Amino acid sequence: MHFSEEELIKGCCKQDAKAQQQLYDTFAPRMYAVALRYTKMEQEAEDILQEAFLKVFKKIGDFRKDSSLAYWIKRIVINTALNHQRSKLYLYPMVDVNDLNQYSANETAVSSLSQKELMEMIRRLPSGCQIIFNLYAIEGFKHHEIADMLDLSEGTSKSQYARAKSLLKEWINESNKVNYGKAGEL
Amino acid sequence: MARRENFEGDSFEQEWKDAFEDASEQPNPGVWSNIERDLAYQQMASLKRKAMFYQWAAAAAMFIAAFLGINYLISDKTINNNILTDSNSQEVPLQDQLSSNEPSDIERFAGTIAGTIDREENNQKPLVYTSDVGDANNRNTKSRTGYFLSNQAEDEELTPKYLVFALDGMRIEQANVQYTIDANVERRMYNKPINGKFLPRKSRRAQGQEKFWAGVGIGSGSFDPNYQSGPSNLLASSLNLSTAENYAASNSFRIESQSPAVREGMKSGSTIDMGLNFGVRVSSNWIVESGIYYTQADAVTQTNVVVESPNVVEPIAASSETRGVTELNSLVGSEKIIQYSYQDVNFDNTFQFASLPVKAGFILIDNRLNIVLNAGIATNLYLGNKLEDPNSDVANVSIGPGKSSPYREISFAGLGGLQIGYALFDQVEFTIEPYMRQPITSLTKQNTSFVASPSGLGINTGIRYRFN
Repeated sequence: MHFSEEELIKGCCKQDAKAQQQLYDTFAPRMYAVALRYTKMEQEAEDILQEAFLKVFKKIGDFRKDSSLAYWIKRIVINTALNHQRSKLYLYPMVDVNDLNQYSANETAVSSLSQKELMEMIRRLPSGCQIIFNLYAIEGFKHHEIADMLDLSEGTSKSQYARAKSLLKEWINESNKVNYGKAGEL
Repeated sequence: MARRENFEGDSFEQEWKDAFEDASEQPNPGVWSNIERDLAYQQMASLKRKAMFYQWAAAAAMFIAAFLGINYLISDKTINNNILTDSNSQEVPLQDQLSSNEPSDIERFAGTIAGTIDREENNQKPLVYTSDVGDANNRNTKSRTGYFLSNQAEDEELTPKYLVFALDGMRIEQANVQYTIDANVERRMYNKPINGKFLPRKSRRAQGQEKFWAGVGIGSGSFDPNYQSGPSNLLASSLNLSTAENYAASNSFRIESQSPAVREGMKSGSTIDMGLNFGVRVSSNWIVESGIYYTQADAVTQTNVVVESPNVVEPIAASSETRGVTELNSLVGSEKIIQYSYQDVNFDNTFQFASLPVKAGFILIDNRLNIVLNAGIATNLYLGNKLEDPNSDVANVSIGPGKSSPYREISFAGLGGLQIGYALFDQVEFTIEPYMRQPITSLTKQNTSFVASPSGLGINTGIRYRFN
């Protein structure tokens, strides 16, 4: 039996096991990719996914349809990930943006790398940088919003983002050099 | 998330955004299993909350019923006693009766009360008229203390065939009515007030004819172990090799919320009990009852961590209960080579007790059908506990009483119930008693790593023989 999105929501509200499983099957792969971006260990991402879906099933009655179901679930996954990572943010000293040497605005070939390679790079970032990069570059939040979400100063958010961007560009350039080298050998 | 305003003209962010737009990764299938299990736990917790609600509702209903019953009996006792007295009384002329029982009152009372009931009331042929002896002119004034019973109403001036009235010193002193007692009154009854209250009628049993009884009983009910255990109490947590220990130490929240990483619990089950009981009536309204019962309580112990030891053929479930067994705990702790693994285990958990209840009962109704409100204490003697895996995947564990047992040899529980009895024959009575059992002490010892304080609701039935 295949449920429409409307039926899925109603079914989950009634705690129908089949509807719950179909909702999970439909959205879990995308949400797991989100959780992976915010974590360094797969086990941690699985824990976030599990906790997030339990919240989804508990709160689905509150879903108001003013956004897509996917977006609503994604917000829950992100919030769950932030709750998991929040304590780690304070383990890393935040440097003011003005102290950083801004990386040159030279374009880097992000598109030349696979999604898997990019994911690995994000997960290599220091925890604070990783979260802020995800929130700013991929989710599209502004620095003042991130500052509110994470209880940081806007400057700290900017500095962490600049650091993340700097590291990523460096790694992308290195990766491209290696790839070009390999291509040359062929 | 369509929040592109950050990236106007910035291809770097846009490229990252695009790269992960449709990203998806297949999670480990175990994640769904864990979610499913947690959902089941939540549902079970919800059902438990509902069951708790119904338990309290049942207890409240029982309490209200008992309260109303007592209230009814107390408020209605005047009428019942008067009427009932009739069946046992001799037909003694009123003057004689009054004179013999309460001369000082009667002297003031005789000749002052009679029934004059108008036709309108007579036509309805009421059985009971309420009259206020203090007001001669107002026949409709109601009183709690005077009653007229009549079965004839042919004349305008009614002469009650049955005159029933209750004396009340206050009333009598205030009475100034001019009624005369008609000589044709056939039967007269009255109930002597003592200290302002009417003596309850004594039943045959209350008169000492059926003072003792003995019987057999059998019952069944729910068994909620009210099990509590912390993550550090798991048997696995004593193993240095166990990552479960580290996990438990750093993720106590997740453990408490029954994390799939390390979890355990004890689900509710049922009880059956059978035994002998005996009792004695200590006063007209009170009984004391005791007995001895064998009780078997079933629950399901769950865990998902098992440990393996070279000295034990089968894996041992790493639950708080098994850790509570000192020998087993030290055996596992002393092993050099230990492996642990995640494995769902559902033990059939059977407790056995000898129970000695002592109850005091207040008699609410004492006729062929009798109702007694009981309350008391049960002393439970722990006989043993068996943990048996129906799939035989892990070692079965028996936990007897003794120093190394996590369970107390003696524990106490409070009992409350409403016992309804019906006399099948003169001396044989069938009883049924819905009851509630709440822990006074925990079943587990104080220094044990987990706590179990069983409670439950149930119904006992039995047959009693009353000795003359």
